Amino acid sequence: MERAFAVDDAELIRGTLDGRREDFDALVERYQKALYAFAYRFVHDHDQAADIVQVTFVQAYTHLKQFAGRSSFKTWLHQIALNECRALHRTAAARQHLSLSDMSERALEPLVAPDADTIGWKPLLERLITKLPLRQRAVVILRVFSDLPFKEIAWLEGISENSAKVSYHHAIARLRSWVREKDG
Amino acid sequence: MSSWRCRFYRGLLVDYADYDLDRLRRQRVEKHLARCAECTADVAALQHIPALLQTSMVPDPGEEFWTRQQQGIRRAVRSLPSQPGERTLGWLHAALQLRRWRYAFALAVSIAVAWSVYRWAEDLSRTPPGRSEDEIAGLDAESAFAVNDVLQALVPADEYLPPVSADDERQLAALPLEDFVDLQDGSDMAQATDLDDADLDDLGDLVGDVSESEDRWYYG
Repeated sequence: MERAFAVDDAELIRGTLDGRREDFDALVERYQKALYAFAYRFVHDHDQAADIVQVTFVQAYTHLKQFAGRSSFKTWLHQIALNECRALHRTAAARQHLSLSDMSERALEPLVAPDADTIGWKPLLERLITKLPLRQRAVVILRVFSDLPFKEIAWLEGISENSAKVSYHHAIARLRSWVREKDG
Repeated sequence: MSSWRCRFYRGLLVDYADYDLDRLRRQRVEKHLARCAECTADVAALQHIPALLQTSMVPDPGEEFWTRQQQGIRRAVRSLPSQPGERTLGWLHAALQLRRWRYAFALAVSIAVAWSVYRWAEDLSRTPPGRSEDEIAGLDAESAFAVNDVLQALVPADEYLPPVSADDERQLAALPLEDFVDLQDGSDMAQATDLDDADLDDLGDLVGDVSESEDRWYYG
């Protein structure tokens, strides 16, 4: 679908509001993978991530007229997806993450390797992200993986830009201390 | 990482790690880092952990999954009953999107509610105390006059009875006594014509008193 890359978001949104549903298909194609990656990193489960993406796009379509352009369309979509992630987290089904104590020795093995074949830390860090408190998890994922500026993350979370940075700092410091705990 | 000084630098450390500080702030952060091993370690983590995470990949579910999901979203969207953003009272919703209109709307509603409460309270205070109309209609003439006197004292004349014009006064004075009795206390004509002279005298005195009292009430 070439239209997905030839036209900017605002035009596709206007087209959708004017009744051209193929314009919305173009938006889906444009942001589908980014949203899936975001949701997957949040819930660490393929099926749940796929559901979140589907619900996010249906919600976005239903409420498209409320998109006032105060943020980018990408940020707005992430906000909807984040709300879905949180809703999912509140249900018992979302509580399937590994706890630190559940991790196998194999998963922790790379940590004891001195001097950092740090590539081996990646799977552990990815899992540790799901152990972070919700706000810190959201801020880390939005910043590191979705590449949103702190200003947009702050808008999305309804907090100040400095609070978003402090949350991010707390999250990274916590990840560091967990890794160090297992390392030492 | 416990002193108030470290807490102050938390937000700045993030910008420092992203090379997003001006020269002056950068120097201040570096001055702090020179004395604080914990914050120095935090900066290293702020640079290395995100960089490491960014190289991690989400497992690709495959092209077939993406296509299937797009079809699913398309089906879900087309099954919706309305166009995106369609809603009843859409103009009102759009107006409320503007913050200043929200405030104006809230102010207007508050004023309307306050005005309604004020009017209700005022009406409540104007309602004459005492008996209902049916009860008053059942009273004998003397009791009715007594109630009338009380009402006159309590309620301003212009709120209780309409003003009487000079023509009305003349017409009233020209009425035969029987009609007047009938008008005043609801007695029928048969009763009025059965009255003897003494009764009529008493009634005349009574009417005179009432007229005098009404004059005081209307004009004085």
